Amino acid sequence: MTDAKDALLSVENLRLEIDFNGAWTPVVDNVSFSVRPGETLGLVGESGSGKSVSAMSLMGFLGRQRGQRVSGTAMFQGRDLLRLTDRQLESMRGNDIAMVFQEPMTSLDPAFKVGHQIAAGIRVHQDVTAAQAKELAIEAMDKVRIPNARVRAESYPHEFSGGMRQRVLIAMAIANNPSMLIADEPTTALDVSVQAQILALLTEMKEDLGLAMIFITHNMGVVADVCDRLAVMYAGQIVEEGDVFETFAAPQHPYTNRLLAAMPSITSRRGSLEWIPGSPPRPTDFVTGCRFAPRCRHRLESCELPTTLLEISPGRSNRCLRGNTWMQENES
Amino acid sequence: MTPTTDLSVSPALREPKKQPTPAKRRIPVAGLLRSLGSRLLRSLLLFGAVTLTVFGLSALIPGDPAVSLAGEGATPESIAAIREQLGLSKPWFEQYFSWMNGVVHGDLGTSFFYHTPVSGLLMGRLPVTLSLALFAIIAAVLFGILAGMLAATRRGRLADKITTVLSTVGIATPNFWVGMILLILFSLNWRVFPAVGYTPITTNAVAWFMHLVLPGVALAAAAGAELQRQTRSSVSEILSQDYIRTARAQGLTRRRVLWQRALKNGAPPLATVVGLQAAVLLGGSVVVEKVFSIPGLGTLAIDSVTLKDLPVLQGVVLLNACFVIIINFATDIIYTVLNPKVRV
Repeated sequence: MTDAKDALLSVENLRLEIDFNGAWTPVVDNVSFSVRPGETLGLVGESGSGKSVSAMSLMGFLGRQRGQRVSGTAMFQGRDLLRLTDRQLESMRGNDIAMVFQEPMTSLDPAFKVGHQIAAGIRVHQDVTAAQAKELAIEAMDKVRIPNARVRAESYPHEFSGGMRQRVLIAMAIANNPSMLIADEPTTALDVSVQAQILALLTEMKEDLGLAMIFITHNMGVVADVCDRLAVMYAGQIVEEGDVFETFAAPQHPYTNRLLAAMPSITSRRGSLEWIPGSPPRPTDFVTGCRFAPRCRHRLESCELPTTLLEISPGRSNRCLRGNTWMQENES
Repeated sequence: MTPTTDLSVSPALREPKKQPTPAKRRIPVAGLLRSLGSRLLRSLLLFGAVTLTVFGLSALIPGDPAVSLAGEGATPESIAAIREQLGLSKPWFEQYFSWMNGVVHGDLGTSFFYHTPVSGLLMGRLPVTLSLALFAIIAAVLFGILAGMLAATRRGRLADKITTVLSTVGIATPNFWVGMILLILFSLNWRVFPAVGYTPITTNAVAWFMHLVLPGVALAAAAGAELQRQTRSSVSEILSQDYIRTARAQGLTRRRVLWQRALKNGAPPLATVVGLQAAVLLGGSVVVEKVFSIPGLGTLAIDSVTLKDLPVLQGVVLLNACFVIIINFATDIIYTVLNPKVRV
């Protein structure tokens, strides 16, 4: 965990519970991380590990309805996101914290021209006329390199390709110069060649605008590409956090190790891809002990004890009860 | 990818002319006109079929209009004379074409009973029925959309349950029964609204409105209920869409998202339901007018049936059919305008 003082966003003990037929079940539990200005944190994990749910809780999309409750703190620019009123949250969304989503094909409103949709977000937060907002929207489209932005602003979303729609969504997100961007699997739904373009664009925007970014992905390759630090999530908890290079070089938690081993590599001489037997538990099956233990090949009986995310060196933490002693064991 | 420097002010202004996009924009207009043309043609064909059917009514109606016109104790000669005078002895297609010729020129014949031109009778009754129908449609749309929105945003809660029960009752109850209940409660018991009759808006606007409330609500009940259900289901589906989350992530308020985004996205199916219900409502007005003794087209239609006044009946049916054709045509156009994907 980094120092909370210089952090732009500092999340402590985030916990989201959902009412499953009367039983309050934590879906995300004990999640703590921080993001400094201009830094990119990768939130990595399998589907259902709680990475999107954590982000949605921060944005107030989860935890505020009936049947859901959220606890913990999320300090952002001196304010706790989890305790803002709906109105305060609305004035922050799209203005201080923006979000880009996974599905560009369905994330734009089919009934409104894209220029209008970008301008609508600008007019909520800036005191400008409709015509000025339109100009700012075209400027934002130019910035994300949508060719011929002035004409394209008058088009409807169905007249754009997936990659171009994601550019529109990025234009929407940066239009009000936010200080943080949450990108929830922004390239997962795109063709591989377009993925690279969007990643390059996001990196460029981040550098140009000094954006801090939370980058949610299940793709370790993408993490290596765009992130400074990463937090690996498993079954609603962070199991390891650290600098990208250090973590890739020497993963501290067996799950991170297995994830990295499962990455296809061109230099590897292994005949088949690595994989992790079993599947992650559902929230109703979460245990107090190590949640990865049932799938872990380094499991001991002591792994049933409660776990905590321990700082092992500055900026690096690990939840494995065995620390790094498992590394001496033979990989079999 | 075009570098941004290409889009400096003056080339940017010139650029659209060389781009394919303006050309692409002409195509939707041409497509719109083409689809309009084909719809217009279809409507005209439908009108032709309707006139044939309406004309054929004369063959279906039991009893001989000449006999009933001649009155009791008429001689076969006087009946034959009346028949000759009305042109009932000519072959059917000749009768049809002379009738159609009249229809096209606004001449729908002369009433057997009132002995005045049918078109004049219709024009006298038209404002009454149009007032009632418009009142009912506006009431149905207001109730349907407001209650539907309410239910969609409060799914599973009390407001949703109440409006859903109301709609189910509204759909299940026949409008004349609703009319009679309203009449008993609001005019006989509580004396809030007048029970029967009609006042033209030109005479007294307040009285006109008061007379329309009960029959209007009775007529609107089913349409409003149907609209409420449609609004509820399409708006709650739209609210769960990704693009609503995007708008919320931009900082748009829940209210703004609901009234701008959800309503516009839900508008095409709603317009279709409004169109269908408007057509149904015109038919329903026949019964409701009778319940509230309103001298509109519906009452005229029923009277013309009892009086075997064939030209009047034909006139009313034809006029109603025209309204339905126009409503359908307008619904098609509105649907196209509202839906950007259909437009292209």
